[in-house]
Order: sequence, then C-alpha cells, then structure tokens
Amino acid sequence: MALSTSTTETAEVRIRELYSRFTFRKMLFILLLLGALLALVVVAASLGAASVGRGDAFSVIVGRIFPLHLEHTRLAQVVVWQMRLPRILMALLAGGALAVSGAVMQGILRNPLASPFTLGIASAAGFGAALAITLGVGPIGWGKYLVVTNAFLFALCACFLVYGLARFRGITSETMILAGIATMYLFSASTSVLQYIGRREDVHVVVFWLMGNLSGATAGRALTILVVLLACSPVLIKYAWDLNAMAAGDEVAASLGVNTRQVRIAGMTLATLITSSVICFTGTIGFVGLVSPHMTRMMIGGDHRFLLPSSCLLGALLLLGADTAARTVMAPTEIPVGIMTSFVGIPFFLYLLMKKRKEYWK
Amino acid sequence: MRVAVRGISFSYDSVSALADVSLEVEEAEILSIVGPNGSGKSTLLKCVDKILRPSLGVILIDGRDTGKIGAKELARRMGYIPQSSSNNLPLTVFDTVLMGRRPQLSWGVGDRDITMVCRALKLMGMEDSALRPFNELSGGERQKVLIARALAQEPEVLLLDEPTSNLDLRHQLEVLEILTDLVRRRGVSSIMAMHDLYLAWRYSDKMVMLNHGRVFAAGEPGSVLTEENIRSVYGVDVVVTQNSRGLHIEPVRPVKD
Repeated sequence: MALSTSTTETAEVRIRELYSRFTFRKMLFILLLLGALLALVVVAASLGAASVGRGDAFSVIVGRIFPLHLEHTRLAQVVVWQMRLPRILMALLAGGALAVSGAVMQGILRNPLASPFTLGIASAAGFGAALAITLGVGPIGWGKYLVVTNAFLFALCACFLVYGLARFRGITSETMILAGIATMYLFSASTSVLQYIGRREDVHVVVFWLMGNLSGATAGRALTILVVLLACSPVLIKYAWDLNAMAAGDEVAASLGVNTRQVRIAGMTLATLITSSVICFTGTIGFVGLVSPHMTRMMIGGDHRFLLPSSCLLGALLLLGADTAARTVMAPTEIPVGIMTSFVGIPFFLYLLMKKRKEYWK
Repeated sequence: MRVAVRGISFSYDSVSALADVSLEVEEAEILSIVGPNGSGKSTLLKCVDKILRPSLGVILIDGRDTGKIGAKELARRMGYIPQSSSNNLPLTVFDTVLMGRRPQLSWGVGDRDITMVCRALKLMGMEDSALRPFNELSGGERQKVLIARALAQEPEVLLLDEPTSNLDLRHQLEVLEILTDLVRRRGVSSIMAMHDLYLAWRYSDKMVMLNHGRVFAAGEPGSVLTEENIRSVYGVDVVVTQNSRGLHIEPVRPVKD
C-alpha cells in the first residue's frame, strides 16, 4: 500500500513537471513571437523607396513611443512615422484580427477548414464592395466611403443569413458550414453578375479589391480595427474553455455545462464583426485567418486560452511579413498582399505540416 | 435515492425514442441499461444529463428537479462519458482530462485541478501519455482518457455510454473494476448502457432492459436476463445457465419471424 502511494506521488510529480514545461513552452512561444514582431516592425520601417537605416527606424519608433531623445534624421522621422508606420500598424492589426477570428471560427465549427471565408462573409463583403464600385449604390455611405460601408454591412448580412438558414435545422457546426457555403456561392455569383455587366475600368477595381491590399492603410483605419479587436477580445477569451470543450463535441460540451448554442452564435457574431472591420478596408485577404491558427496549433497545441492570443500574434507577423515583401520585392510595383500572403505563408505551412508535426507535440 | 427518473418520454422529430421510462439509482450503486441497438439506451443517458430535453417526465437528483438546476451546477454533479469521441482539432491528453475540471474552475487552472487530472490519469494508467495528442491514441486509450476526464470532474452521478465498447478483453475488465471500485469507495451513483450482457450482469446491482424505448424488464440483473426476456427483446434464442462461476448466456440462433 505504501509502495503504491509513493508511485502515485512520483507519477504526479512527473506529470506536473511535464505539464509545467508544456505551459512554459507556450509562454516562450508567445514571447518569441513578440520579439519577432518587434524586429520585423523595425525591418519593415527601414524598407522602401526612401532609404532609412534600421538604426534610424528603431530610434524613430522607440523615441516617439518612449520619451527618449534618440538621434535620427528629420527625413527618417517623416518617412517612418508618417508614411510607413500607419501601414505597418494596419498590417499587424489586420493580420492579428483575421487570425483571431479564424481561430474562433474553427473552434465553434469544429472544422479545421473553417474561416470567416468559409461562411461566405468575405464573398458577401466582396459583393458589397463590387456593388459600390460598379453601380455606386448601397444602403448607407457616400462617395469614397461607400465601398467600406457596403463591404462591412454585407459581411454582417452574410452572418445573419447563415444564422437564419442554420436555425431551421438547429445551430450545429454542420448546418452552419453548409449554410455558409450556400451563402458564399450566392454572393460570389452575384459579384460575377456585377463584373459581367460592369464597365471595364470598374471591373478592374473590383478585381483589385478582391485580391486584398493594404495600400489604403491609414492610422485612423488601423485604430478602428484595434478598437473592434479590443472590444471583442474579452468575450472571446472568456469563451476559451467553452471552445476547448466544444472541440470534443456538442454532447460532451453540454455535459460539461456549456451552452453550445449561445457560444456558437456569439462567437460567430464577434468573429464576423472583427473580420468585417478588417476586410472592409483591405479587401479579401484570405490565407492568414485560415492558416495562422493551424500553425499555432502545430506548435503549442489546441488549448484556446493560448491559441487565441498566439494566433493573433502569428497572424500579425505573417501579414506584416507578406505586406513588406509585397511592397518591396518588385518595387516600385506593389503586389496585392492577398497574393503575397500565400507565397510567404504556404512554404512555412507546408514545412510545419510535413516535418514538424509530431515533434512539436512531444 | 440519489437519481430518480420519472416517466420520461422523448422523440426525435416525430419518431418516438423513449416512452414513459422510470428508474431509480441509489448511492454507491450501478444500474445497467441493456437492450438492442436503437432501443433508446444512449437517448436515455442523454436525457438524464439534460443533453436532450425529454418532452414528458422529470429527473430528480436528491429529490431536486434537474430542470431547475443550472447547467454549471449540474455539470459539477453529473459526469457523462460518451460512447466514443473524436476531435478534429488536436488537444493533448492532459488538456482533454483538464476539461473535466471546467465546471469547477472559473478561468485559471489551480493546483487542485492539476492534482485531480494527475490522479485521474494515473488511475487509468495513462500517465505516460499525458502530453500525447488525443487523436493519436488507440480506441481503448481514448476510452480511458474519457473516463479519466469524468473522474477529474468528481461527479456524484456518473453516466457511461457503453464504456467497454472499444476495449479489448483485458481493458474491459480493468475499466469495469476501476469503475466499480470508484462507485463503492466514493459513493457515486452510476448508470451505464451496456451491450455485453455478461459484463452487465457481473458489474451491476440493478438492470433495466429497454425495448423500443420502453422498459421491458427491470430489477436484479439475474431476474432480468431470462431466456424469455432475451428472446422477446433481442429476437435471439439463448440458453441461460447459472452455476457457481456465474451467469452464462449462450446464443443459439436468431428467432425466425
């Protein structure tokens, strides 16, 4: 008897140690991401048409944020602070926001292929934008804001449409995905109609919008995304446990006291809100939201308490990396970032998928 | 009594799955539910745990209507182990078991939560797999992890949906020994749906035999598992013999309609 107690204790100590090392690794991953982000911000700020050294870029950013007197040129000040930083911020926030909503969607739909795009949200936003560009009509908004408001409103419409359709058969992951796919095709077909009847120059603008780009970045837009993200995050973080439970199936989640219907509706609404606030400014940038959560899962596992913040950081890193590449590799020509995210992200993703998967777990 | 099910009925859309089912389980007692496929065993367990809402009838825990108990409190008192579970999104064994603590914890994981997870894993002999992904386990290992999760939950009532269905002979016996030991020592009330009539007979105190969603026979396991009952409910001719080594059910042939 004494022997069995002592082996129980040894086992407990061993599992504890393993688990705390696992937790430590998750924290380390978050810290590494933060470090990489800061480094990438400095690099991105130093790259572009006007030449600014990394040292200068660093002192401008740090010097403006903290009240320090760091040496840098006036040119560096203007280029980095006024021209490049808004776009860098936009890339960070857009990437982070898309990744978080992707992680939430995959969690509530229990589907590794889910993203706000699977649910037709992106194609609805695309339709809204195309409507504004080709016909110049929309429920609210005027002039140059019409594209933004249209994209945002139609994205929300898609969310309610999916919810409405899924309600008939009960709010489960299957009904929502099928309703989402129907919604996606409906809006893509409608966009095609607009492209078919639209003027050639308008169609060109629509196509450019659908590829996604960050050339419209301003500090104000970045701030808008930040506000939406900060407003939605507490609720999503609070749902982290519920999402973990729902990953094991609705019945198990219900037996653990989770109101799956409520989590699903609220989660979808918040994720849509976050996505819409991004893609109404940037157009459809698809890859980040789908892949950042997967990469994060491969590295630190599927616990949403860590997954949500880590995906956010990784998404920010990915999109900033992609956008920096997009505006520099063929300078002065800019490649739409929606194209670049795939070229930057896919090799990394495939590498993780092929080589690292099992090792990361142990 | 601990759990009392009084006259519950349930239908999926218009197809009736349970009709007027009643049963009672005391503390430290195991009740097994037997019956052919589609007789309502799983549905009954889900109704008891409020995963499904019965259209008629009530379920009482210690005399309190579960309809008036909040979801989180019910989850603290009642553990449910599904027949099988797959997970599209990877989660480690430790985190899967830790989920059983969700009804107890607010957001952060405390020392006691980790202790309970460690003990549950050790008890099921899964301590060496703590950080393996749940999806990479064999069927039997998964079953053990699911049981560990329910143990970490520290419930007063344990509902098991065919706990031995994925297990080989040795694991079947091991799991049932652990469960009966737990039921006796912690005074847990347990309801388990079973396919294996011999194991159901051996490891339960009471038995309910369901047929087309109705209670066909109930009582002491030996009195339920008669040749006539099995013939009528399962449609199989059997020879039941009882000797010093227990009850033996030898299937002979399916009954011709």
